[in-house]
Amino acid sequence: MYRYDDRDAEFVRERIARFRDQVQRRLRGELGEEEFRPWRLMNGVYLQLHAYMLRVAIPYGTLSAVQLRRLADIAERYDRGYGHFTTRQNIQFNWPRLVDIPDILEQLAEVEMHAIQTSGNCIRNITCDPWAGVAADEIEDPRPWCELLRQWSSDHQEFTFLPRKFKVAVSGGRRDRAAVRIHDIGLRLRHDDEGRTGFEVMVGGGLGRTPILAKTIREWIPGEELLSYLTAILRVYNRYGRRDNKYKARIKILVHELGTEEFRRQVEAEYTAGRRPELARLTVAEIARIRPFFAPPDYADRSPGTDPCAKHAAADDAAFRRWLSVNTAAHRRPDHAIVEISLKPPGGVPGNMTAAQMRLVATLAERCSHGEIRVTAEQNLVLPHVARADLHTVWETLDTAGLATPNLGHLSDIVACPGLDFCALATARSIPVAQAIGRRFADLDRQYEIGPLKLKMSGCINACGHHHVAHIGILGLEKRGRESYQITLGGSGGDEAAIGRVLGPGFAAEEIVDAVERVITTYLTNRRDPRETFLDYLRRVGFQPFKDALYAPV
Amino acid sequence: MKDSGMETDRRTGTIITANRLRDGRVVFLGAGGWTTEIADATVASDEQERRALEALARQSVVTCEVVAPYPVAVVDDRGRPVPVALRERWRIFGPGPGTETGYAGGGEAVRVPV
Ligand code: SF4
Repeated sequence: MYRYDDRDAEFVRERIARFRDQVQRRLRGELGEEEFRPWRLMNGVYLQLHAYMLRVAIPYGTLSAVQLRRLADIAERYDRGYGHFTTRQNIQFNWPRLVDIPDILEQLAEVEMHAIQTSGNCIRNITCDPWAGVAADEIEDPRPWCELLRQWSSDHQEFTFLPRKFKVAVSGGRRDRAAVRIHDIGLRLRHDDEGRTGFEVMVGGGLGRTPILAKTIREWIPGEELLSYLTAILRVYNRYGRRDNKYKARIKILVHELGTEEFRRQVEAEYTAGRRPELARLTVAEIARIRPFFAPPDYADRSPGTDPCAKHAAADDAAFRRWLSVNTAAHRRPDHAIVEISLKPPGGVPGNMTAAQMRLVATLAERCSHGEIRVTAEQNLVLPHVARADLHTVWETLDTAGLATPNLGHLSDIVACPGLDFCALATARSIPVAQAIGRRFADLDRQYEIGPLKLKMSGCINACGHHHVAHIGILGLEKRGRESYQITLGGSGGDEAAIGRVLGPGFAAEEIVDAVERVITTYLTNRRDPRETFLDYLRRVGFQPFKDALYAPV
Repeated sequence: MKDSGMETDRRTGTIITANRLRDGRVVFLGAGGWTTEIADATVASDEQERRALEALARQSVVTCEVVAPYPVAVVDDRGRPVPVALRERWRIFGPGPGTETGYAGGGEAVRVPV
């Protein structure tokens, strides 16, 4: 993992000292809320529905065991004993007191964490493939590039006050696990014919009230030119982005209004004019400096011949076998596996984790995953380096803490934003609906029969729960003083990215779980065979059978 | 200050809510100052009373007691003011039970003690 150098540490320390002073001045009345708000937002502090909320950055979703344990300490000492992992691979605390936040930030800084740029109209936390460095299909580890981008975008003087927030995602696998097409800039790492590292550059993706998939504006830019090229994109955006209208200020609207071709032309012109050879040289040197931090750990040789995992799997241990086939994935080393930790137990709150669970996973990571944990955009965790020989122990340990629900990629692996239980912008609750759906479909055999399915929900049009790219998406709205839940179908993230379509009028809170059930029943009854997935079925037959099932008069 | 109320025909009055500056907790303006109990909120039943409450609230902003005060339309529910708007009801009575949970295994969601 990357370790701060003196400059990083000094930068974070200096920001905390400044924020501590700003908080003191605010409490003494020397700063009004209007003056204070931009400072608190720059340090990840929101005023939410019930209290302040602190959003802590987890750069490209990578956490050490030491960091996770510190998050547990903070959850217990300053909050209510839990944290909430978000779809941007960050963690949020829902109840910190403003007076405590400078202390919390100090404690985070001790383990090289911070909350800078988790809010505001700046370049936010860079997100990444949670299997980076270990996926069997990986072209190259994207994390050194993510770290380069983190450093470049931190406190970037030119890009601190953009027209709107700006999100960048990087994927390094042959499969896209970073949902690059729903980001302001999506980067896919590719090698050219000579094996040189470069990126496909996509721009103008985003969800919210105007969901749009990013367009490719460059098939390949050499790695050393990445910063010059991104600078060109951001300059065009900074110059022409719609600062006059908050709802039209994201780069996706600019790309849409200019047209992809014209946007590309402007970026290329800016890139050619502003290209700096010294930046390319610096990039090469910095990547060379950063790369060793992400060197593979010192894997002990765990030969499959003595694999106790195989023994347990062969034995009549159905629960372990289920977990093994659903919650683990191929590692680049055949004697290791990637373990996904489900934060979606039946009836649980998607993405929530207690301090005790955090400590357990931290200890497990130290024992069995070289001290490393990842956070996924689907609100789960990953142990990236587990020897297959340790899988049974890992499963048993996770199971004691309710962290071994074998539902990854299935219906109850629900993504949900905090919604009206916590969020000041919400129009409806998400969490209780997710809990109710999770309970209704808790039967694992039924979930496996349904097959791979992504259900995501958001508590307002801002779409933090990514419902537009779910196979079944749910959007909570308010209609005449009551919650109303709209269903979208056919969305997809990753390689086959697609925006879902709204099926029809919304459902009341007490109707929405039954409506999801009818969608599922329609699919199960009419699919060709069990190999035809929900998405394949929908793409074959269209929306009408679902409309009939949901809206036809009884 | 903007009124967040809806369904104006059912409203019976207005209370003032805000967040406490130091810790962000939701508070209401009552006869004895700011309180976390909505039952103790002063209900303004006409425009004049409401303006008087708003003036007091503005004063509390200046003295750094609270942040972002605003009026909320309420109806009377057995002597207790209850907000009309959905959002305000959740702000005051939420988060819902079980939504602050982690998970302790065994199929039961566990409410984290507050
Ligand atoms: S989608 Fe809306 S309700 Fe949900 S977290 Fe985002 S802003 Fe809040």
